[in-house]
Amino acid sequence: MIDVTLDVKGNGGLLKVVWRSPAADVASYQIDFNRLMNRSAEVRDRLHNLITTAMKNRSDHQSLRLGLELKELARAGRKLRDAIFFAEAGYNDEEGFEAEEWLVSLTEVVIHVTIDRQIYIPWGLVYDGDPEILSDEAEDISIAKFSGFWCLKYRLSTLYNRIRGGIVRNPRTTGEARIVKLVNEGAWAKAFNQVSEAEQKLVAAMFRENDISSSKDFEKIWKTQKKCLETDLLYFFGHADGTALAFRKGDLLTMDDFPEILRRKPPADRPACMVFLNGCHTAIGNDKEGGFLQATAYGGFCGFVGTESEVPDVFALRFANAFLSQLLYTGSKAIEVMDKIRRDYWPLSLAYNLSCHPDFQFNPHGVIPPDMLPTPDFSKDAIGSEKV
Amino acid sequence: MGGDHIIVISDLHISAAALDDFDCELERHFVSFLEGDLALRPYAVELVINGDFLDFVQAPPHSGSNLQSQSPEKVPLCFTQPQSRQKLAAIHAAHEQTFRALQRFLAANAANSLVVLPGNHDADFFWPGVREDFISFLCDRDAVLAKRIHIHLQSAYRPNKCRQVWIEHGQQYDPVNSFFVSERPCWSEENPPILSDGKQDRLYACLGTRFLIDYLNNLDAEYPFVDNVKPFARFVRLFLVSVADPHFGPMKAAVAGWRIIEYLSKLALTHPRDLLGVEKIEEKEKTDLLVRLQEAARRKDAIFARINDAYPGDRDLRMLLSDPAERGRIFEWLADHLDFLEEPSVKSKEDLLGLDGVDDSYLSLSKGFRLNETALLVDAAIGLLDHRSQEAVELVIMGHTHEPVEKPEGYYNTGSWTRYYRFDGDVRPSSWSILKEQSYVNFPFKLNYVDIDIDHPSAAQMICFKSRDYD
Repeated sequence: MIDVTLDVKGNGGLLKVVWRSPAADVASYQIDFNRLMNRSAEVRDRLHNLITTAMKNRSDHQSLRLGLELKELARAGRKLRDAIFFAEAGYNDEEGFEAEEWLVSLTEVVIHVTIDRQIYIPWGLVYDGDPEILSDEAEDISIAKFSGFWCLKYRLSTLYNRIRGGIVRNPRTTGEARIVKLVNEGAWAKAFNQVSEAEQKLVAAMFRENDISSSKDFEKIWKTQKKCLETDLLYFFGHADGTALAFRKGDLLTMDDFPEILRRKPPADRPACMVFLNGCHTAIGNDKEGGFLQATAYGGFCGFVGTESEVPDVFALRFANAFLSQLLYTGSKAIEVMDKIRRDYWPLSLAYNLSCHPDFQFNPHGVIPPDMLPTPDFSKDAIGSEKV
Repeated sequence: MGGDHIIVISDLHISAAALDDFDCELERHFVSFLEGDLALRPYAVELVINGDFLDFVQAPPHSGSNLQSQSPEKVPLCFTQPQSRQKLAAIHAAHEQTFRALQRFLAANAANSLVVLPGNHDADFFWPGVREDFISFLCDRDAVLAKRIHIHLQSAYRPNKCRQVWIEHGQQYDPVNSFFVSERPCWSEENPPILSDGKQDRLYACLGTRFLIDYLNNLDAEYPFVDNVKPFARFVRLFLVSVADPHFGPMKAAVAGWRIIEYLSKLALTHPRDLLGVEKIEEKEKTDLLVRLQEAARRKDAIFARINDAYPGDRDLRMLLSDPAERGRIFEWLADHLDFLEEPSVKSKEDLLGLDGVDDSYLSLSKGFRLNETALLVDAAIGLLDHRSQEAVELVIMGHTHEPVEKPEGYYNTGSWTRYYRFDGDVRPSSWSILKEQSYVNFPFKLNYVDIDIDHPSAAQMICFKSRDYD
């Protein structure tokens, strides 16, 4: 397995891209920021179509017929790929081509993207290969066919480069793990009531503490009662956008609130806290205000799992249940868990990205795991009729 | 019919209740014009009111779903005859003084006469019942007097004793307010703008009328001068600036601007004939409104909190705005609930208020959308005055645009007898607050008429009976 780092740094309208292998820098060149953003918007637009069609399929009691939407997403992902390798003329433009050749020549690669400013790109949805050779069969949605997406092919993760490598050492044991769950009660209840009793039991086993369902309570418990110091995983379920989380109508936790509420001293004796923002568009942010990439990179945090589009509520709940239970009870690292769940929950799992430290993990030693859930079959199972 | 002098006026827009533009001061001048000028002249006067004398569209009842319908062929329709008669009764009740003054003008000289041409705001004159009521209000069963009132149901009026004069309201040259069904003009006694909706007959509703009923009448109650911004092209621009610039207009105006764009966009799809050369409108105005709403959300403005509370469902509006599929629904809802967009005051930043660089008299919503009613009417008039034309016309008089025009070729536009919004080149328009009541300073008037001596029509003059500029 080769770890490749794609380091992207801002420089006005140009971004400096550096491809690194563990041994050395391979290529360095500059690309156009606006082109990258425009192509990202196209990718997200296609992802939106995919999710919308999926919800329509299921509301019509059909299996997921998303072959065409996936092909369109692949096309947009391919254009995004071209923008990443297509260097601006005069800025070491031949190195972009070299980087492309080099990456193609490798096998068994994992890509870590590190970025240094407000750059919200759906890196995992970049597509290798020629989308035009994909078939036009709506029913053909096999994961093997679409294995060119970088999140699958390279198990891609993204990290704000302020987060340092060492902060996830000494994983907590699952028995000691403290998880704080923030919920939009209405959204949670709607989704929760649609999952099986077994899954509800699993949720009860994972989230042992009381839910927090208002920004005021969160601030009080997190800051005044110093809950921040002992939390290993902060989980949110509810309506959201790229810069705010909604506990209920009119009660939001916004980007402006984050520095004040979230900031905490990096704990010395435990790994940094991971954040899972299970709402719509949480990974999108914007280049002016920023987004959760920065907000979850304060001292003591190691990034977040977020979404590149809207997600249906029941699907979102089940995806997170599966992700968190794997993380808590298998000892796997976040990157491994995401890879597994992405495949199990294909293709709607494309909505999620891993913007946290890929090595974050728990130590399940000594814990008897609850019954794990079977892999769902979303050609039959409910995905939800509302977006979270 | 006929007289020694023909006097032409237009666009009085006499209505009733909250949306009435014909205020006490204007009515006083009109009465004075009839009784203190025309009635005292030593020769017979034929007074021609060249369209939009009455404003049925803004008279009560002026909103409600029962005011609109469509024919089985999907032609948009509006008022039934009973509704138009109800509106006329309301206008008469509100302006009895005007009706009495007209009566006295007719009574002053046995040869005085009145000719009324319908315009797009009083197409209701095509209803026989409306004509009957109107004459009855004016003549009070005096059959002799009634014979001196002529409601002319053709697009142009050419006085018998002065055939070289062509008097026409002009709405048929304006794509927003013209009356055509299946490419055929429906503006004559033989082909009146009346169609069945399958149950009953109704008036054809041109784009301008539909816009007033659907949207503007609701806004006019609070911004009484909003519909005085004429022509339509300039009026739309005022809205559009409001969408983009938070210092220019209130959120309410921004939503209104969006609604106009939506309205025009939908019409372009469903009634392309209405918009002629109007091409698909860009998404810019939608984006501008979205940005404005998102900024209000981020600033946690009181107005946003109020909208958020009131918006149906349990989701926060800020989140919903992130979803492209939801935005349209939100904008629609806002446009239907403007009360929630009330703001205590809109601070105007004077240096931001100018429309410099955009006010070229043309409405350019996008590359393809150019509309200038005044120029369209001038072009039409010049065509009629062309010596090669078989009509042998020497003098053309129109109204409709509310912009007075005098062309040496022989074209006059009498403007209007309502207040107008000053859009002179050197004037910087103010914020939307000026459209509120008590904003007379921005709404002067200029009450023009064309005076034609029938023996010397080429010596016709446009005369200002009364004007007020509050400067």
